[in-house]
Amino acid sequence: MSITTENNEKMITLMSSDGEEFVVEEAVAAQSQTIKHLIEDGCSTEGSIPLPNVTGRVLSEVIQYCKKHSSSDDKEEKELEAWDAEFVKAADDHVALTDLMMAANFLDIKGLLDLVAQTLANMITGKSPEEVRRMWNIKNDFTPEEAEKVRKENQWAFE
Amino acid sequence: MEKERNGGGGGEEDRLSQLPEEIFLHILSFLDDKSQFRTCLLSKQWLKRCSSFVKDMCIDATRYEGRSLNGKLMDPFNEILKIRRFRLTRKATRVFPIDEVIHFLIDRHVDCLVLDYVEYFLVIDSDLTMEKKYYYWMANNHLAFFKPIPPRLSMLRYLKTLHLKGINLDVSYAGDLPPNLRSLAMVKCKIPVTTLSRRTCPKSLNELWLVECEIVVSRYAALPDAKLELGPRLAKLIIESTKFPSDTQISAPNLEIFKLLKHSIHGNSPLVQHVQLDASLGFVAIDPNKHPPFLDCVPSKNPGLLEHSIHGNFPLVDFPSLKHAELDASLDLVDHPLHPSKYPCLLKLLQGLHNAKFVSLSSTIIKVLSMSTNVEVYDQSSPFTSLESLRLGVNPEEGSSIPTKIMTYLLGGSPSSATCYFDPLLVFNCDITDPFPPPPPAATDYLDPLLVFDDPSSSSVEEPFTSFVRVLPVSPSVRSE
Repeated sequence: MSITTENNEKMITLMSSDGEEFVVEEAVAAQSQTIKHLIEDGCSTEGSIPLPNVTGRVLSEVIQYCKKHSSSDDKEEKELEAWDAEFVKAADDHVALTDLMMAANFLDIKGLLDLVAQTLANMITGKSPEEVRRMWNIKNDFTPEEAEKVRKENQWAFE
Repeated sequence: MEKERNGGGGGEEDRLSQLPEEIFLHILSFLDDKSQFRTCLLSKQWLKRCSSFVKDMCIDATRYEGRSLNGKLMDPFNEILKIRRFRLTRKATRVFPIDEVIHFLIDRHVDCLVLDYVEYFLVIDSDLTMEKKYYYWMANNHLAFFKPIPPRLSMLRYLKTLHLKGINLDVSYAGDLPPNLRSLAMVKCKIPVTTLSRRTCPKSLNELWLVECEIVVSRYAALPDAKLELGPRLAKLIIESTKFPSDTQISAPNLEIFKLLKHSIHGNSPLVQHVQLDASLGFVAIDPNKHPPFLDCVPSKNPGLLEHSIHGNFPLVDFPSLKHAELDASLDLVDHPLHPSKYPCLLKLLQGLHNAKFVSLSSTIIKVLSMSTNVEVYDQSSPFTSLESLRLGVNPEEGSSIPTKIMTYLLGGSPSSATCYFDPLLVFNCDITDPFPPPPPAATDYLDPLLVFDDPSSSSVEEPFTSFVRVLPVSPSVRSE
């Protein structure tokens, strides 16, 4: 179902995996290449667009991001950067970030994908393998000998 | 708002490792090199993923002939983050933007690089007349002056294995080698002495091959000394059919294996190789150290006798930690009297190998020693002091009589437990293999000038060169007195 607002902006309804509905302007939703293609294929005319891989919580964050980025011009780049930084900070922890990353990947929103990837990368940079493991709950399945071998083969990275 | 997680388990689960490959790699691409490779220590899954986005890559530049490529050559490959092994083959004569290739490789952590060029050495055609040969030699020498190839190799910080074939390093260009190189092989290359001096030789260099190369002294060098000062980690040095300036000195403090193979006794300048010697000329002097090499024909007092006046071109060596040594020479003009100046040179070379425990000498080396008419040869004290085994090649066709004096000379200084083998099947091999051979041509990529492929063994790190193993034929052991 498509709704037209008073300023003639076409509205799109998105439905999350847990059944939550979000009504957004088409321009906002079209930041996602996936949704853009669905609209072009005429999927939006028959009701809401189902997004089975994205929960309502994550989708609301994604829409927040898309709204900001569709309303801002390129001129306000600095301001946008600051907003982005706040945005990823608000996505309190890395679990939320990986969810956001998955959603950005599914919806194909390059800006968001890069933003989250950069944030996650920053969380890894400069940390010892031990610290990274603790932070992400990664199970160390190397024997000490294997670990030593890997370390040796990539010696330069640990110098 | 309630957080939903696939599979539950609260914050205990490893979300990052569960990410799909493409997302995972996207995150990795935002990491700097070191952090990226550190992640391979996190778990086996990470190690697997880390190695999965590293590619091997082959480019056959011959297929680019005649196309305009400037600035776009490597564009299709910008997505590739890391390249483990890279090979560039070129059998063409036109200018190829090798700068672009090197530049592309700088950020991509290339571990093994093969530059397989064909030029200069194959240009000389044995059917050409002397004048034409001279012209070709000059022309290519001249070209080399304008082509300090390959540029910026020193920026390839992660390069461990480098294989250069048919590349003229410019004499006036003290181009540095990659700083962390472990294994270097140069085949049919022209190498300025300054490339392997104390300052420029990579400290990490562990093995070095020089095959059919020409070591040259810079015309512009302040000191014309031909000194190859190889780094503290060099353990293996193999030189085959390589031409040196006279009085070349090679030193390597920790060298353990040294092979000097097919060392040409009469100088192996490409120009001189095909010259038909005319007996009526009388005296022929071939000076391989002049650039370009030239023939100096002087009427002889004894027409019909050819005397080859050669500057001694055995290098002098200093290898205090040597264990294995193998010497083999090719003796093309063996029917003619050899100039006496060669023997002291070989003797000096042998002196430089004094600590070697396992020595192999080919029948030609023995021949050079035996042919000496200079009595002083035998007055020298034995060069070897700690021999465990000496292996001597014998030529069954020529008989295998080795003068006692030579045996005394070779074994006199060693402990009596040293064993001497006479081996008619003694084979010398430089053990050089291509670290990254080109893939066999497949019908499907016939039209594709570029080929990128995954190496199925990329997760395991294997030795790029075959290890140093030479199987000696079984032979009767003869204790020499």
